[in-house]
Amino acid sequence: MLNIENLTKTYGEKKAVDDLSIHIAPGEIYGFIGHNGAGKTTTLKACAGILQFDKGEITIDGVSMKNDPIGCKKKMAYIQDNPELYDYMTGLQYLDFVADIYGVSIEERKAKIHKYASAFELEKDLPAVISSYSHGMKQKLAIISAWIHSPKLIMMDEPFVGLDPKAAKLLKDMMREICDEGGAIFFSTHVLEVAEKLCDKVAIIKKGQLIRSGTMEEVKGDDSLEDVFLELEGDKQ
Amino acid sequence: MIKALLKKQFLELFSVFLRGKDGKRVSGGKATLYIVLYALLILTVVGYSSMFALGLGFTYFQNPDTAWAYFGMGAIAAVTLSIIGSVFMTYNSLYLAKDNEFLLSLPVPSWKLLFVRLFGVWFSGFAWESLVLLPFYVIFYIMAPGLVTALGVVFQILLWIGLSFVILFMTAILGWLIAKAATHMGRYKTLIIVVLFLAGFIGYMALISQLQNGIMTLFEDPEAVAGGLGAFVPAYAFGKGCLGSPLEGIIFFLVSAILFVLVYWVLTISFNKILLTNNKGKAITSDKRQDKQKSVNGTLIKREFKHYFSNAMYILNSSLGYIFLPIIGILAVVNRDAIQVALTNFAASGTAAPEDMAMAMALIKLLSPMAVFLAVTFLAGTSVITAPSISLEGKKIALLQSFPIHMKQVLWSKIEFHCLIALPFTIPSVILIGIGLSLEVLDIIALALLSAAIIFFFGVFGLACNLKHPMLNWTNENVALKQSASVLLCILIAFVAPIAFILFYLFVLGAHFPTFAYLFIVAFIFGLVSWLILIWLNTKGAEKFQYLS
Repeated sequence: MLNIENLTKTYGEKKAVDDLSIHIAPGEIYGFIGHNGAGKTTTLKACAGILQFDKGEITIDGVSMKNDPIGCKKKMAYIQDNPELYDYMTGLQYLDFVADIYGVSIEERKAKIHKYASAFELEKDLPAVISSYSHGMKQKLAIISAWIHSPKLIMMDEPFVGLDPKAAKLLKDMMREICDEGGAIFFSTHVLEVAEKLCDKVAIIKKGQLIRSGTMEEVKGDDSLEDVFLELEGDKQ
Repeated sequence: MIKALLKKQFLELFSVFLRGKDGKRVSGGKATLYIVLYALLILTVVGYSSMFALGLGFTYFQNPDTAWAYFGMGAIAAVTLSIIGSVFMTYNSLYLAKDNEFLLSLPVPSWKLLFVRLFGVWFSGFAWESLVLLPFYVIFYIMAPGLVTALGVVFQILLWIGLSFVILFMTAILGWLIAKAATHMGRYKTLIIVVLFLAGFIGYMALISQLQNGIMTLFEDPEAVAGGLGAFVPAYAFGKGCLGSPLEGIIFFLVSAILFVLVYWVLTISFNKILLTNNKGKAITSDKRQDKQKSVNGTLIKREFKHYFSNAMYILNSSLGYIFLPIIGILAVVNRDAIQVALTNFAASGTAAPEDMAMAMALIKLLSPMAVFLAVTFLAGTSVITAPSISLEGKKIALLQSFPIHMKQVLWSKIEFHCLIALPFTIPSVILIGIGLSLEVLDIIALALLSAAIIFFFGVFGLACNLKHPMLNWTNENVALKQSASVLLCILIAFVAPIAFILFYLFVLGAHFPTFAYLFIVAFIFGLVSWLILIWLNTKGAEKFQYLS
């Protein structure tokens, strides 16, 4: 579903991502972990088509991000680490805006909005302007907007930040549901327990380089993901 | 402590010169560009102030008894410009600053925070005031050296500071009114703020007119002046003070100091409440469901509409010209006969022979369409909706970039929106002004076409400039609205381009070339340049927008 081949991105002298390769198959929830500044957000942004990269190739469902960025974006959705949404719209107007951009029919969007907004207990807040939302509510709205056009791939940067336990559980279920339908999820997180329980595969990145990746068992073996991560990062005392 | 807080305040104020989009120091070239642009703007304002001062000097320096009116009018002009220039900064700085809660959480006494906040607001008003008042002082020293006294110079310095307190008082009150309106008005917040600002502005202009009448009354009633009643007219007190009259000077300074203390005291006792009150206002709600799927272009334009009409600062900073144009047009038609009489009288003044009069009328006929061209370009160039529109996307720009749409669609929606707002105001207004000035039909048609070309030009030019010099990391939308290089460049072009075209017409082509034909040519040039910029926007511009961060 998502192929990242030899991705390299530099900022001036600094290599933010260095020759990174990751392959995510349909049906997989793929976790992406690393320290702050390791290159996770840079990678996700490059995959979302909002950051130009220097070398390598990214394909989504066989479509090249370099050659057909619009084709790629039709197949995926991206949620930023900080939900920056249009404060001047109501929740409902924002969802309609996103649905219009993706060409989602009125009937389909109504059904989706009802399904997810009621699940997130956000339905009564949708008529309110987004500037009145809390961080968690914005995050829920961003999640609903990502799901509204049934993308094959959803990429998320720290999606659980700001969500209450119930919403976090719901998001995990939604992620699994997408994968069960043949889609894929690629997300970054610092919550290693979540990654350990939720992910089919995981990649650990350090200073822009992939230092380990594979199935959860391959990466952590009999240890906890936290122990492995800290050991690989050289932080374990 | 105060030093650190002031440093933060000034870093915010001068961020445009210091930090680039990546948060690092801006390059020398870019900083130079900003400095040059600001210098040109400052020179323009100083130039206009100096011309105004010269005109007043010729009127009021004839008689030493009326010289105070020169400074009085200067003070009125300074206060007007300062209020327009800094009222929304006051509103944003005091009531909407994003770091209010953070600052309150610091172990810093409230009065220090308030002092720093007010200092920023005061500095803005003081800077605007100085641009007007200092040229007045200089022209005074040049034109009326006989009236300069040591005490007068001392009071000029004192009252220069005193007037800035008056400005602070007035902007704080207006800012407070706007904040109150914003808190209580909910859905109609933007409309109320725009109306409130315009009402305040018109009210202020009416007050100025009253003050002018007051000045005339004082001229006609020397006893009132002699009896000291004039000291109650602020302009009189300011003017007399600047000439070295201690009573009026001290009264004005004391009153302004009292106003400053009053503002500081009121804000101190209500500081925490002001800062912690959610001045965003009542949550606006709308449960209206969209019943028809929109095209991508349609939904992008709708987004621009929503953004624009949600932000009073955006409307007032980028559309004030379009609000004034219809007013000018209607006034021109209503006063059509009076304008003709005034123009005839103007032509008659200084002309002795009938042929001179005919020549003067012909010159007026020739220059009238050019004057309309100058006015429209100036108003359009200072009202470019696209100029700050990319900067205003801020960090939310990533949303658009991640959607499966071509970025030229986004850019085009911004240009289209600018034209949708500007054209319906401009074209009918230009036609009305043309009728009011009794222009030839062909001139009116040419002006209407030229206005459309100018609107389109500024739409694409403002957008292209903003794309070249975006400012996405703002903490306050006002920074994007007022300090974007694109906004300054548009204003600069609005000043320079029409004058260059008119001078070329007058001194190169000569008066025998038909005005309508020249205006058509200028329209074609604006159109051609716009088309070239549009090609850049659709190709390299769109690519640049895709990866802006």
